[in-house]
Amino acid sequence: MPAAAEPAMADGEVAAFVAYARSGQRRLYRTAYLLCGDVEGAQDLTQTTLATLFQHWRKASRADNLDAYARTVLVRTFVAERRRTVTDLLAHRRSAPRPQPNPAPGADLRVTLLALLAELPPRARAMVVLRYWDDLSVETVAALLRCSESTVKSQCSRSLVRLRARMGDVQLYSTGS
Amino acid sequence: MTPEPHEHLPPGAHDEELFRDALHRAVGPLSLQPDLVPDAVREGRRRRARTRAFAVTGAFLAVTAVTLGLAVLGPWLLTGPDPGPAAPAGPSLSLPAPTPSPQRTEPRPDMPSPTSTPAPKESAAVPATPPLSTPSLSIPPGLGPEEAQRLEDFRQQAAGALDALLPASIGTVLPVGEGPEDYQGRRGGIVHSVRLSVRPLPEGAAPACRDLPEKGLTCEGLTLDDGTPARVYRQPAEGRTGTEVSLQYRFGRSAVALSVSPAPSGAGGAPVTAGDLVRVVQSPRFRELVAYADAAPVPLSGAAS
Repeated sequence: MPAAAEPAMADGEVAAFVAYARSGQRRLYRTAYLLCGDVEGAQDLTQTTLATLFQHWRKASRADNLDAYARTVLVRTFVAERRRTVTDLLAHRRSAPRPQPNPAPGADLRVTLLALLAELPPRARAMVVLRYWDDLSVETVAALLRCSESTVKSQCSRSLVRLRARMGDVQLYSTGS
Repeated sequence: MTPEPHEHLPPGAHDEELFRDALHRAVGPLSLQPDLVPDAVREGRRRRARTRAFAVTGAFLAVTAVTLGLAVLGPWLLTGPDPGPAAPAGPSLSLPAPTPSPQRTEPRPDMPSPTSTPAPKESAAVPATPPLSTPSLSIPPGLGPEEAQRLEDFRQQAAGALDALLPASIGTVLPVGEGPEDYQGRRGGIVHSVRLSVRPLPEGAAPACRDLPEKGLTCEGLTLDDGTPARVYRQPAEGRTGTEVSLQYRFGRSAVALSVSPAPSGAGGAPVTAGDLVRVVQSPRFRELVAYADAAPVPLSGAAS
């Protein structure tokens, strides 16, 4: 599109966005990494989130909590994209063959965690990440994912039991990665 | 190293804490190598431009659609597909707007034989119409383009009105031949002949309404809702088993006749009742059609006009 068709965005607004994005992209990227489970997917999701923020920057910059706003954009983008990928959903339902986590001592904790998270359905994965990585309350997670608090509680509890059983004490209590 | 059990935490909370810790240990040190911001700004600019372009395009399309819609539907909206009471005939009356039913989306049905549409020849208030011409889709000879178009428009409008107003048993009504008077109602393999005639009144008084037993013709007088006297003729259809029913009356300066003949393969009897025809001619749609033809007689076809 020609530049003339671009909506005017003041230089100050662009600068404000760039400053915010530079300071917040790593935090968003880490959440995206836990959600997507791979570097490329996490980078794409983070960049899409930042682009969405730029697109709606005037509205976003007026938010009471810009970090929460950005996180909401990221998680909803992730859930929406996964919902569109029917094959991905089917793969979760069928528990298709995935690289099995290796609970043996010395195995990389990050790989193990990501593999276990990948076994969860997208929304359950988002709940776990928001609850235990971003330390959000049950109420906040429920509002962000537009579901009931009891759903968040039950999903997180179930997911935690599952993760706990798969990881085992060795990795869970291990201090090294 | 195994941490001390958190005995002060409720069951499950301990696992939560451990899991939180594991997450932070696993992802905390993760670094982001490329700076995603420049690409995000570029993508964001594209999105904003696209959003604005969609908005502008959408507005343009909406305005265009409304404009075109008004241009196309304007006459239809003004006249309506079935406008209330019939307007008085006048020279400014325009042909009713096109209706979808008579559109030719299928091959034109075969032309019935000239003898398949008999009309009462004796004691009829309208003159006998010329024999049907051979089937053709071409413009009748002797007509200019405008007249030919007017004739074709009338045929389509009349077929649409008859299709909508005649009983469903008559089937889909389509024009046949070249003139404005001959139509066919086709349903399955059964073909009824329908004839609509709006011609200038003949000079002299109308003949009396009387039966002709030797021809099997009967005449019945009745009055339409608006007080117009009408006649219903019944007579055996030529070459067919059954009875042709014809309703005739005067409108303005014209004599109007609407006839329906039975299908050649019919089981006998009349395809319509007098009441069916009365309902047709009293409908606003039909009356408007007749008013148009009365105000500006439609050419029968080329040389006959």
